[in-house]
Amino acid sequence: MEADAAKRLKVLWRSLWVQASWSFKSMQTVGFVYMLDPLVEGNDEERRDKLLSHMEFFNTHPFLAPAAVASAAVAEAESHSPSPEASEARRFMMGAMGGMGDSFFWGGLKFLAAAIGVALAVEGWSYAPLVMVGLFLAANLWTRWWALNKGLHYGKMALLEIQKLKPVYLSSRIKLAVAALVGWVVVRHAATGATALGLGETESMAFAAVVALVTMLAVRKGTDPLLIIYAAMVAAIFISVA
Amino acid sequence: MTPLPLPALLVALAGAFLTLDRVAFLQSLAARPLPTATLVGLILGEVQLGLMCGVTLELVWLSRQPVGGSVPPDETLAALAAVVAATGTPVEWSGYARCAAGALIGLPYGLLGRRLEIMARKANAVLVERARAGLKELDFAAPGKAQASGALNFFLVGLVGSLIAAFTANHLSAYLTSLAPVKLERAFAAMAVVMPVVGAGAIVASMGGRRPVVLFLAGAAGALVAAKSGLACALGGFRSGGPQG
Repeated sequence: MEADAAKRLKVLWRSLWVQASWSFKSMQTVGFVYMLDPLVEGNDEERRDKLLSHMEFFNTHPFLAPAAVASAAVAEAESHSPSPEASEARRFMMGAMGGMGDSFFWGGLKFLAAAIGVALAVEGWSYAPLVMVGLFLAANLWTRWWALNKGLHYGKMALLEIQKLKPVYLSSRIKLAVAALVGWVVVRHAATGATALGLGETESMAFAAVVALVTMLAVRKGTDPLLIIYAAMVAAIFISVA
Repeated sequence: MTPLPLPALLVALAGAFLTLDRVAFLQSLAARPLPTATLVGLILGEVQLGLMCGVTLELVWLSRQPVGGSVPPDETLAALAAVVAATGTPVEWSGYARCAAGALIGLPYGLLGRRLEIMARKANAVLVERARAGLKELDFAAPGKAQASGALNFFLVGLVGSLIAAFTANHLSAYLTSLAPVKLERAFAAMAVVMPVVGAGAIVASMGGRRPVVLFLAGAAGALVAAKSGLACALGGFRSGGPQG
């Protein structure tokens, strides 16, 4: 489907707001229609009917939503009335991309950006938050633009292009890197805060590793980490008072 | 230190805009605890304290996922409240103690933020019907107006939560820390180290399987070796430049 740069930029801008009217009942429904509008052609009645036909439940990963919108627009462009294939494209893309996007961005890249940010902050970098946000924002914007263009070019087959990037596999690799980075960070943080614990540097680092391992066991048994924190606080108060 | 009305209002306004980033707009991670706490620290003139509170809270909240219809506690409001609360602790306390006291007091504000966010999401339920009705009347601006209304709802609940935190968290921390300041300081200082460690453990636990645990230990061992070999000091502010506040 042909769409000039101005239209694409308009859809990109609108995609940033895809969750603006998020509700438990309809989730991103209005956001989807709002994004789709610039890509729908025809007279007012045709445009209205096509947009109304997409006023159905929609929810996917926000960064990949432009691909779903573009796929629906490609199907709509082939007829003057609302296309059942466009609705099918929307539903098809919604489920698949929701799973892939959540896995990659929320389950992988967010962890990596945050771990890098914390690692730099522990090293004393005041600009660490900017690095963290910058890394994630670059991936966020690039993905929206790329997904939009793939959707316009391939329609719902854009899903195959997204799958070629192996987001779920990449996410599992990223998680492993995050685990190692987080191990590094907590030990460095514990060494820096050895005096706060009233321990030597080596003891403090070993203490941190043991606390982390105990937490892992407890969380895997179903314990809420916040409960562990408050329990640790009570123990710390008891020890310091005693 | 009690925030003056103007800085407190600026903090509340920043909190409202950051709340938009959580769900309604962009989702750039600017609303995560590390950037939020640093920004609030900057506004209150205690940027190092903000950075340190961000480190303390970031790993604690990281394993809580806002996926699908689930609404986790509001880590943005918790971070904002944590820094404001930290500024209300005795200034003679170490940065660690101030930060951990603030972080612990800030955690319940995260639950308040969650309640407020659920209110906004419920209020948004009518917007789909408004957009549909507008489109039926050939009002093609209707979906845009619905989107703006939804974003405004998120902004307003963010503003309400941030105002409450900006004007109460410091008084709460000042009162609580005045109860037994000398003895509590040691406990809080220790918690500044323990909290990110617990958060890290929860993150690795959420990954499932043994490999993340093995890699976590490998990373920890690497840091230990680096510290002993002097590599850590060469890498950065390990001992001197860290965000001790």
